[in-house]
Amino acid sequence: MKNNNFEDQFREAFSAFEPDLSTDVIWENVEPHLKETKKRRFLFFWWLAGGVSLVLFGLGLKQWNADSITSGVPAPEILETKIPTVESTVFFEEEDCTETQRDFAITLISNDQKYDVDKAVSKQKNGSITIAAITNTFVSPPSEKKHSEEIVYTKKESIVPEITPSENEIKADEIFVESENIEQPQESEPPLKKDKTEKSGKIKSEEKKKKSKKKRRIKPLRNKWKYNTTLVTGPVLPLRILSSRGNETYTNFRKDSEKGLGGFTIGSSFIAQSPRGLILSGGLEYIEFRERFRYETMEETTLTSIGTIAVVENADGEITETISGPVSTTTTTTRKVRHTNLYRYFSFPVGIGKAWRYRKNYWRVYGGLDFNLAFAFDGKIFTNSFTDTAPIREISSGENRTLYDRYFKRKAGLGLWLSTEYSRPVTNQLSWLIAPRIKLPLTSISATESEIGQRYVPISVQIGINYLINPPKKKKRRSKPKTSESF
Amino acid sequence: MKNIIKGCKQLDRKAQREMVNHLSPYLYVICRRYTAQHEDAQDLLQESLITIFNKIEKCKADEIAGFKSWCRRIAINKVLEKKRKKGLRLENLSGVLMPTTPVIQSQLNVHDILSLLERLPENHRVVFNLSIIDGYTHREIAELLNIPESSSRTFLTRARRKLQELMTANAKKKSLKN
Repeated sequence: MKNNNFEDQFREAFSAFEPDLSTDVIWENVEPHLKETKKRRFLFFWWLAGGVSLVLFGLGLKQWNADSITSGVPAPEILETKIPTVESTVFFEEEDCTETQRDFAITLISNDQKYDVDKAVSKQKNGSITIAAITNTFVSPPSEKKHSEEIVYTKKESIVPEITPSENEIKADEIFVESENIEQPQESEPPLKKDKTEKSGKIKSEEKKKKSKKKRRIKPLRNKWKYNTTLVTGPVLPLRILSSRGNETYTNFRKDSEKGLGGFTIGSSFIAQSPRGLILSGGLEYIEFRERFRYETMEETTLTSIGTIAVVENADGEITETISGPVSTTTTTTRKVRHTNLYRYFSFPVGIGKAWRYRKNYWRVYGGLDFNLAFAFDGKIFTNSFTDTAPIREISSGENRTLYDRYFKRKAGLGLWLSTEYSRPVTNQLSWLIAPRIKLPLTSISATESEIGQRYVPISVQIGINYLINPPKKKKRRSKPKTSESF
Repeated sequence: MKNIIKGCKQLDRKAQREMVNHLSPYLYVICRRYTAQHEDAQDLLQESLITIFNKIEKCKADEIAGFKSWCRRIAINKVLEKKRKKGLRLENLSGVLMPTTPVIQSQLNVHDILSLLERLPENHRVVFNLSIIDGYTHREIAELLNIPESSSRTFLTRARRKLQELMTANAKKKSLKN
């Protein structure tokens, strides 16, 4: 009985015993070694969904912006551009033509240029004067073309007789002479300045035991803030938001003449992360992207002079009479201008967010305010007087300063930013990261007096490295305890 | 509790967190009986919990008692596994000692019992726990520790005798103090 009493007392004592345990500490040590939860799996998809949403949001914004501006002005037709050959053709719009007409047409063309007239004058009709058109296309050789900017002039001339020929004999119609050539391109601008982790594996009691009898934490979780520095870079897709300030036509011309191309961003930031995953960040960021500027103007001038407008020929095709009179010549000049504009932003983004850890990987979602420290534009724009400006750029003390200030600000103002980040450790302190990011400017970069409000929403995918400044200290391995007795 | 077990099988973190709250005291006591120090017990507790959560799909018991029994076996196996890793040899004992009857000197609390168990040789403590507290038969103990049944009986007898000596000594000390 005594024996049973002894054992029962032991059992009862243990069954009623409630140890003073910190289950929080136990959970923190156990959790990293557990199998992946379904919920955690979705973290990646949430992260991915966040990134995709940012891109879609930006694209939607762009589309919305495009729809909001109703364009009543047709886009300028692009005429002949880069054809690196010289070619000339002469043709007659009507099929009827005589030898006389052929000769006549030739006389209308200057002698220092060569034309393939024979091909065009293929048919004849007795006793009639037909409509004749001569087209001459002349393109400068490739060597004369220059890099990013070029101006193309296209000239089209129509010669119309101002007097009406006699009834049956004379049918005077217009003769078109169309010429197209490229003038000497303007001097293009010089190229613009281009710009954690925790121990893994099994819980090792050797690492956790201390020699003292004090209560200690096993595989302690870091209960202090983590400090990280990041360095990131990546491509930028700029989406433009244009808002009219009353002049819709000008807004539409600007919309047509400027197209965002792309660019890059580089930045560095400091991130403080609390034990519970709260993130506070601040840093510096430089964004640079380019924009294609292209537009063309058309100008018509009409000159009147005395010239041969018709001939009369007999049945044999011989010219029996030449009729002279006032001839009006209309010249249409198309001017094409191409340029690459450069936008540069230097900002101080600060943010707040939340981090989640699964095993060694981190997901962060954070965003905040973006304080622009400096903004610069370099390039050409379409002015409200429907001409292109001279290249304007941000110069602290230069002749174009006034021109710049007329169209752009020197600071882009306040903006919002949002980023989702995934990082994976490489070493104890170093990890790589990828982070889609979007910035939404709250203010326009256009000057107050400008007739257009212009904002760019840069969407970027940043890739970089994250450096943990205060890694956990490695604990000394506990020596193996001696066993008092062996089995 | 059933929902918690179900949640753990679905790898739900909240359910696992709840399970840690429920199981930790229970498993800690088991681990603590087999180990001399609190830290070792806590290590074993964590390792046991990790194994439980990662192999919970293999547990067919849906009832609380069955589940706890499964968890207890895991904890005990962890204890024994660790002792084997430490290089303890389970030697056979020859000869059979006559069982002695320990005398209860006074009412003991858990800390007193743990203190007494800590002073037992490790092999004695293991066999005592397996047999007296956890209800294993000598055959099962022999299989677990890879020793003959006779050795298991001997260890238990010695453990009992040692405990009696210790309890008698404690009682004398207390009476001297009073």
